[in-house]
Amino acid sequence: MFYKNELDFMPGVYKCYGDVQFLRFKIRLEIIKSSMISFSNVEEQETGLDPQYNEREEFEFLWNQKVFSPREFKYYSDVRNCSTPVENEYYNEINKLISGGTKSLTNRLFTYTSKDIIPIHLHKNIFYKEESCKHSSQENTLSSLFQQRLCVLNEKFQDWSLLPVRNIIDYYPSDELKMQNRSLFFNCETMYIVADLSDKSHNSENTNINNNEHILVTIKWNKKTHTLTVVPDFTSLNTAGYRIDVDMLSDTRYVYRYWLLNISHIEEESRIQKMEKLKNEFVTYRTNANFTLDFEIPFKNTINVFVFVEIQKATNFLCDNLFVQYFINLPSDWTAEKPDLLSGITQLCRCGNIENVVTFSYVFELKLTKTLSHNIQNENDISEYNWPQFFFEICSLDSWKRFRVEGYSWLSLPASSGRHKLILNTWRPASISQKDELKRFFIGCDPVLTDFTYPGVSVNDNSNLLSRYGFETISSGSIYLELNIMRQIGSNVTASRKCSHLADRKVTTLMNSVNYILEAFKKARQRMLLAREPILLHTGI
Amino acid sequence: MAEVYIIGQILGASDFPNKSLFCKWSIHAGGGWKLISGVKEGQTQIDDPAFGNFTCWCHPVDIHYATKGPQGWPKIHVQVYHYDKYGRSEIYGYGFCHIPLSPGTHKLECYTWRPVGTLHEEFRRYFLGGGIQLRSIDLIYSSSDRYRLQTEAMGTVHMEFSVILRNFTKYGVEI
Repeated sequence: MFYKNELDFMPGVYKCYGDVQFLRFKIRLEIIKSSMISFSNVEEQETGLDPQYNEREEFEFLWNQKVFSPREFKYYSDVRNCSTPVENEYYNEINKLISGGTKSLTNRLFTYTSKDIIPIHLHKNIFYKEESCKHSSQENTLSSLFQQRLCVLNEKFQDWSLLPVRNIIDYYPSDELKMQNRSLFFNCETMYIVADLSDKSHNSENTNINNNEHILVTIKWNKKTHTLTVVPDFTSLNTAGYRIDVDMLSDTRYVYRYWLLNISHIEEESRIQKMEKLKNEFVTYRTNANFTLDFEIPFKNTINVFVFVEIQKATNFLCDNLFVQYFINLPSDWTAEKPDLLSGITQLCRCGNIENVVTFSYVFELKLTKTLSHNIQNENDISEYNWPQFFFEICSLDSWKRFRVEGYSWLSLPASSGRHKLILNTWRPASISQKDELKRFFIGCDPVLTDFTYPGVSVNDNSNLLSRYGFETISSGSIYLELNIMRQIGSNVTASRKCSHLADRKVTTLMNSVNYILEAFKKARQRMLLAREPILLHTGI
Repeated sequence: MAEVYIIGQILGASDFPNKSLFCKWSIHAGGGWKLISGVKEGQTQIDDPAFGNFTCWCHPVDIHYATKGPQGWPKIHVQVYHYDKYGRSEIYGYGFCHIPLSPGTHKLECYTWRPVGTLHEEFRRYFLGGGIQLRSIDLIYSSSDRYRLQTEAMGTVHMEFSVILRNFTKYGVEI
């Protein structure tokens, strides 16, 4: 797409010692109709200042400066289109411009800053020159950006299927991406300078203008390493500039040339930069020294239990390609902050170079809240003693999509806080006949528990005996878990005996022991008084 | 305001198919956490053990957080890369684990996995190296998308962390 001058079309990477706010650059865009260009254009345009342009536009940009395109201008000047804080900010800016009597600052040039929503697939188009991108006809266009943005805006009304399905895996990581991933985490702010290259003479505003948006320059700023990447690099006016050819529907061919000039002042930078640096240092020092964070304290009579679960690995299962499904059963007086985390499923994993070990390293955290009720008078009420239960099911899914349940397991949430390393042994229901065993082996159909909670202590069962007589199982491998538990107790959980099963609750136990001593003292005193009575009678006092 | 100090080291890795490895790590904490001092991400050197199977990095970690609640307790996330004699680096494993909540010194094992592609990609990987990578690590943190992955078990990253807590008991937290 770009016809480059050999000298300068490369991404420019600059190490900057100053702040990026001082960056100033100018873009000059010239539009030439095809009839005016001879085919041997390269030599002719060496002078750069070609008088044959039809239209010329120049604009000075600051770093991260938002310049609205005429289309955005129209879009954001309507309140109904603005819902997010950024959009409201844009709306206010545009209103100021309008009240100042100015219309849009530029005719064709505009910018997308890091504040703007730039959808994921566009990122891909811009950064990763993948094979798929190479085939596409509209390279570097922002074609669907507006549609995308409209989707995000009206997502309540729009069908979700319009949004791109998130793809987790990059099947063809480009060389650039590989290099990027292996180095430290990228933390870039990006600014795009875009030109609207639509044919203005035909007044075709209502047609698909978005196809004509072309990214002229991409500027990335990495805060950490203080590097500025400019694609394409800065040029001077003596060169031929960068060139874009656009074919119009109306058989005319437009050639656009543009120059990117760096006009930031270096002397000014160093002085102001020093001042800024001092100021920044001062501010960071002050904020670090004085800030306070208010610790969250649970409500009265509640206990918060923070559970950090890590499903690490599974070993010694018969089949390969396993995944774990978990489910947490909360008693009635417990609540979870995010109930959707109470059940989940890990990824599929197969054995690597060590046999019979599959790894998940699946982490999640739960915030559970237990309310202590004081209304229950009956101390033997069972519901008070119910404790959250974890149920695990480990399954295999092989390359033929045969599904087998490999094991069930159960765990009651440990009552003490701290770090717990657990190994859960699992079992699965045995097949009753030889035929079922063969079925399991060949077509993967095996007996499954209808009640997922059967491995645990059944809550609703009123019988006195937990009997599983007559139920045959086969033991299988084990799941390695790590639980980190932290409990936080609301400010005035009173010392009730009902809660004394929370064995190591220091406040409660302390209060209990004080009460106990007081009671013992009272009893002893009464006994002493009783013992003294006959003596007093005898003496006749 | 409660504070957490995490001091320790990433000891090394074992059980990987190759020994010449390096590791990229980062510590992620929730929204109510504020980093006071220390670096929360880094990259180890490439270690190729001359003897034995344990790749040793001994990479120091020293970090100090202030927090307003135990929610979003720091998680460590490691990416292990293999660096071969031609200077190529390829992904060997992703792993996640929680920093322990209780004060004291803890030994951690982080079991890693790598994503598996189609037969063609695996064939290519076997002969040419490289292989598929995750597009975005963040998607893996939000566990909801995890089930769509097909992975293969890789080795173990060993870590040792000492955790010091301050002011937690003041707010009714049992340690």
